[in-house]
Amino acid sequence: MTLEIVLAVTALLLFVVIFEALRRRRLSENFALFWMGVGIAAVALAFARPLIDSVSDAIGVSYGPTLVFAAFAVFLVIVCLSLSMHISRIESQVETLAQQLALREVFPPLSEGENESPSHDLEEPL
Amino acid sequence: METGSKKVLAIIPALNEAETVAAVIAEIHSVVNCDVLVIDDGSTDATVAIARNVGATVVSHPFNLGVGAAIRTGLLYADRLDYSVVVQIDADGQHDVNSAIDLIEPALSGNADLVLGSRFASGYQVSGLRALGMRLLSRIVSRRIGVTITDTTSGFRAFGPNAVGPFARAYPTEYLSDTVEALLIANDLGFRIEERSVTMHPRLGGQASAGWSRSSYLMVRLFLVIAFHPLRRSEVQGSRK
Repeated sequence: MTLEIVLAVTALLLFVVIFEALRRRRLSENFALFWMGVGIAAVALAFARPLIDSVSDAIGVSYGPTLVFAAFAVFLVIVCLSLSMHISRIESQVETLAQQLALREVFPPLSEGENESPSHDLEEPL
Repeated sequence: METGSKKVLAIIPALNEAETVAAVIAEIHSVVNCDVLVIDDGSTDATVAIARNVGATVVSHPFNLGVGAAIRTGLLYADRLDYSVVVQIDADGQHDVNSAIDLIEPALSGNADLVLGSRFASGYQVSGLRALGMRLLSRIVSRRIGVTITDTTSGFRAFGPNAVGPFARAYPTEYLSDTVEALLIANDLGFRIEERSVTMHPRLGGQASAGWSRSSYLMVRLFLVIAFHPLRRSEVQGSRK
């Protein structure tokens, strides 16, 4: 039972951290939802020992918790990979932004025909 | 529609709407005396060139940022150039431009700071689970802000002089959450919110945005946003202009 309590407390702490990060707008809603899902799954797993044991037996793993560790390792690898992909996308976006900003010093913003040109207004930083 | 000395800006967020954007802009020019700004949200088709050709000012996001971000860009532009009223109109031709007058009018006369166009009066219909979700949303949001809003996710809306500045800094940018969270922020800021019936047209081109699973996910996220909103730090206060 102690293991269950430790797991449940850990999950609860996870929720507190997510909640606080969300409240301070340090975490977007998308990531918050994802990590809340992880927290709920962790709590569910904490109280699913019989299920874990029967699944381990079925696939030939002798000690249930090992399976949980293995599954968790795989899960973390997937999360890391997806975050790497996310960072890569952000990197390329920052690159695009910086290039466009750099080019603007030589090629000022388009002002077409009789359109009001807002270029002078946009030179001060936002 | 004459707008007197007050400047009105129509903002059109557009992502690959080359087929329809010109007609929408032309219709706006024929109905309302206002400037038109197209916010190109990373289009890869001829949207930008076509919009410029028919006399709209166009700003382009270097990559896709989503509708909410496009609205915020439009409001930033309006705030810089001191527009009194901003009306948001879709580029796909679904929003009836004549209805825009009904949205601009309360904002222009100072009777409302945020005017929403409800699509339901003109027989806009959604099915099954989505309808249920939208009804639930409408009930929760209406209770929260004390004004009955039937169509909380409508993207057909007008911003009055008080709303342009604060929203330029704090308009939410998550897809679909933007429309609802904007209502909650408006309520926090003490804005007067009003809903008017608008006419909707069938789509002239393009396709609807979200499939079943994505819609459900967006709905769940939306409820999270609503539930957390009173607890979250405001983006308006403490941010500089």
